[in-house]
Amino acid sequence: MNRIHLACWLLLLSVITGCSGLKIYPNTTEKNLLIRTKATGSFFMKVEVFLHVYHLKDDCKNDYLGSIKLKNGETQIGLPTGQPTYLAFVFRTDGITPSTTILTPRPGNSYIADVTYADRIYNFSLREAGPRGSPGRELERQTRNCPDHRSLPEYR
Amino acid sequence: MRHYLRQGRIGLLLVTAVFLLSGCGVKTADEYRHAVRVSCFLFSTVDSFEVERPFADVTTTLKKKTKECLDVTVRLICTNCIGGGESKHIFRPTFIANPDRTEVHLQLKRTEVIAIGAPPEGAYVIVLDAAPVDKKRTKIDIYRQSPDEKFIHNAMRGWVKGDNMGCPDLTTH
Repeated sequence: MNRIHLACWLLLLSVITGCSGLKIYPNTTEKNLLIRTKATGSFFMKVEVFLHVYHLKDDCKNDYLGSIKLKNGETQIGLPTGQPTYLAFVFRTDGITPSTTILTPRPGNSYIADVTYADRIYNFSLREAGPRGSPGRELERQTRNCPDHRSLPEYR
Repeated sequence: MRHYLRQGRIGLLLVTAVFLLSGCGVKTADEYRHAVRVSCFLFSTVDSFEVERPFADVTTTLKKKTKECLDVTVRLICTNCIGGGESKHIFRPTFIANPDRTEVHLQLKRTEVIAIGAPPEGAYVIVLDAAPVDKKRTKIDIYRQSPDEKFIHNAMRGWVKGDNMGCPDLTTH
């Protein structure tokens, strides 16, 4: 009976995660990143948006922490502070298109990301939230300086 | 260069070479501009307009967005192909800045296709020219071969106008 239960749970889990092999990001730390998502496809093209989170060890090494499927609207994420985090916003249509940056969240600070996809044009911007909810400064997108592209994660 | 993946589409990815004649024998950006102007390509378009931004600002934006958005390789993975199934679409942008003119060219090379008569870096997809009108305004010309590139054209319009910094999703090309 226990084995049947276990098999059922595994089956349910695989359905929930879309059988994609994606690990769900635990999202247990204090929420410091607000993501505002607005993605529209068309009759012929469905658009899904995912956030993949990696702990960056150096320019070419990372630990995959997990992924979150972003629905239209607001999503609160907790990122570890004081360490460089590699954020990959991935737009899934017929293809897989990543838009990435590196963020080292400072303790006590919060961040806002705007993620859009419309008419086959995608955009992503990141800003530090100002005091009392005011819009803060926009953060320049940071890229990895890794000469060997094979070391970069394969997005799913 | 960033890497993009693409799921295989239904149908065969031709492993055997497909021979295509390069449209209108275009080998350079100048020949491409001329071919678009004389409507050598069916449905080609020249979009000319002015923006209320200084030429230097437009050039800075174009340089940044060209590198960020157009230097892309799309890996195509075909799951139901005969004889294997991986190919690449390599988008090759060129950015040229002079004191009186800035140019962005985008070329596309498809590794599964042998395009006879096309330039080695691939066929031209779109060309943008920017030139100063006065201290505050810039003249833009965008040359587009076909309606399928309209989303790239729209993204470039957003860059030069400064109202939309989004990137075209080249996996949908």
